[in-house]
Amino acid sequence: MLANIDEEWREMIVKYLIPLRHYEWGANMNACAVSDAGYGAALTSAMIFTTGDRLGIAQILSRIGIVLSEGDAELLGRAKQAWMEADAWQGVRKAIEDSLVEKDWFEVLLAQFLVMDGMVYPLVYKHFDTAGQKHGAAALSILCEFMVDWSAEHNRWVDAVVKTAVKESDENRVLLSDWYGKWRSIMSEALQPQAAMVLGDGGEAVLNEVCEQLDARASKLGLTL
Amino acid sequence: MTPPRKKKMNLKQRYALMTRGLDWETSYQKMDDVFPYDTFEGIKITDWSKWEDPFRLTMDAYWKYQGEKERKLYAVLDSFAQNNGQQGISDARYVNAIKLFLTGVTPLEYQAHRHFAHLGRHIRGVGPRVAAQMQSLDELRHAQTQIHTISHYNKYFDGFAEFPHMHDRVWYLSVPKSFFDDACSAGPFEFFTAISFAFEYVLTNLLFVPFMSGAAYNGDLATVTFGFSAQSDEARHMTLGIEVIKFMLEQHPDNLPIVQKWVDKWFWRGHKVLGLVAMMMDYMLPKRIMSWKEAWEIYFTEAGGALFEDLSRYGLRVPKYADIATDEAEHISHQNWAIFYQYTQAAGFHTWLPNDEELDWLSEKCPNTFDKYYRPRFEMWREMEAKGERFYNNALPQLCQTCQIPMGYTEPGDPTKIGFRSSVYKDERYHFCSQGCKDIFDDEPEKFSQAWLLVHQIFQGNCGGADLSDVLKWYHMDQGIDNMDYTGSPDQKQWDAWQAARKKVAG
Repeated sequence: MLANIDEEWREMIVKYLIPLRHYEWGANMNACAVSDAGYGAALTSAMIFTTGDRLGIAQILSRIGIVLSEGDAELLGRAKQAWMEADAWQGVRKAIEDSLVEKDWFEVLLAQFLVMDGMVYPLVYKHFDTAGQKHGAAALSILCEFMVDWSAEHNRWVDAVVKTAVKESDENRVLLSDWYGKWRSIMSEALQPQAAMVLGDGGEAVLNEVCEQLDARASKLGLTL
Repeated sequence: MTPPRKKKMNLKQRYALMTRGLDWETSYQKMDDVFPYDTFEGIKITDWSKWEDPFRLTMDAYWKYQGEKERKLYAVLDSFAQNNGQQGISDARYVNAIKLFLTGVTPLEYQAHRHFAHLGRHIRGVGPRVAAQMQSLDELRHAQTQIHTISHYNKYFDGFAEFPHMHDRVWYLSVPKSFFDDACSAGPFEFFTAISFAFEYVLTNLLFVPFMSGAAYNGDLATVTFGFSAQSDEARHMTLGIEVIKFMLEQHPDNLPIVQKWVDKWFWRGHKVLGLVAMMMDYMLPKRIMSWKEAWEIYFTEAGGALFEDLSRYGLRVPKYADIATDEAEHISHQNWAIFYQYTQAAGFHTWLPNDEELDWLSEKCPNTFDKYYRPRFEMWREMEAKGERFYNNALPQLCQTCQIPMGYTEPGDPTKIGFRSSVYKDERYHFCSQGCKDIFDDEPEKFSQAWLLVHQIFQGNCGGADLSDVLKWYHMDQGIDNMDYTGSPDQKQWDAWQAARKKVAG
């Protein structure tokens, strides 16, 4: 099914998509951390289901890597090396590792599920995917359909949680807005090399668009930008 | 399509890529900061990669199996409700076993979900971390499906409606609750030993089988179906428990004394909690499955014996006081039911005295103890009831600081003498029902001296007031409805009305 993809774009997929299995594993750990430390079943129950979903997505990406690799682990190994060493990935990996040691579970929730996912998902599964269409990657869109559907559903939950917390008090709004600003700035910088690598000169504009859309979403939730 | 030119990976390799392959050694943050909880207990893990996955379940398969199972479960629950399944049970007294389950056990499933989430985040090894995540999901699903299953009974019988509120307050529910609080406030390896090994592996058959077989014998199709639905998950939980123990013992010889101490502790704590199940089996099932003593022989003495023989190659021995627990298998249910009978006014389910046939069954099942020590007491209480002098114990009991059960148990080897131990810690004296409970306290006095004990709380004025009626209100128990004997209860009236209507229909 993936045989129609250009050789050159296959290489690109190994660079931009397959390393995301580690990003998903980080998101899995963050969801589990919120389920562990969070307060209230409305949050903690949902977060253990998310924990499972993110492991599931990491496994979908792993399978895509195995298929592209014609049944072995070679490409997964290269993608992991990229995650660990390639300059393009270090900002994202650092952001994830920093979130793993963050003690405030609500900050983890906001950082991972509103900010990081709010940039990574549209950038990768919308813009990078669209770019792949010119290179015969239509089949890849089908394999990533779950991620698109899943995040649309999950975002509704994330938005409801953040909105409720913002409405609760002015102190909440200020604190959450601070956190939003902090992680937005980290992530918009961390994703620049990704956008440039996949989209070339157009990358910056696309990333700006993604950030603006996230800002618009955050404003609607009551966050001060 | 071009044929694959490379050698296909086997299942084990593939699964490793789907789990361990995702993980990485962090470098922007220290691994010890990312995993701050898995070293302080003193368990030494030299090589996490030696972990053998006891099962290989990817998430897509997990969602698929669980979805299918739950669709089937809910179909059965619907049909049970539509067919008025609550009228087809053996006797309405049976429902009290389900009340005990919902108030005492279901909240533990939820607690297990919460704490396996802790392990699912904080265990450094990816294999057990993923297994813990799946178990956290399982336990949450079990809590939810149990509540759904049992909610049907809540429409017709009393005692169910306030189960989470009661779990945090009622005297006998503090027994299972404190057991889990103890485990959840321990380190991750102790939690694994307590819950995955001692509870899920060694003792699970003494909890799950009695309730699920009890349901089957007593016409409770809904609960039986839940039991079947949970079975494949329980099998995974058991394999995780045994794998964790073996792994700790294989990793470093220094782990043995720590693990042994935990096995001793959690065996004893589990034995005390299971006393509630013992009572349920011997007294609360209108149609009995087997006696607690028989269950103990099969599931602990035989199965547990074989297990510990197998584990002896790691140097692990049978838990301390296993011999005492085995002796108590012929006492504990009788002593517990006697406690509940005396304190029926403060119980969230109904009590009753065994009838002649039931007394004979107990005599037969416990030939060494029942006629000598317990039958005369029940017969005396029966005589008192007949004279209109039903016995209530109106004094607040002293509770064991460790297991939180009223101090009604007897000395090993002397069933006419109440067991009693105490320890002094920081100028305060603490009381225990048994040497096993005292040993546990003495090993961690700072932890157990902080235990929340209901009787102390009542005396301190933290439980709604000084009178029984105040405490019942604080429990959210309705006097004369949720508590007291089955005879004369609204449950009984409802059941008798159903039976009368059935007779009428049958002509």
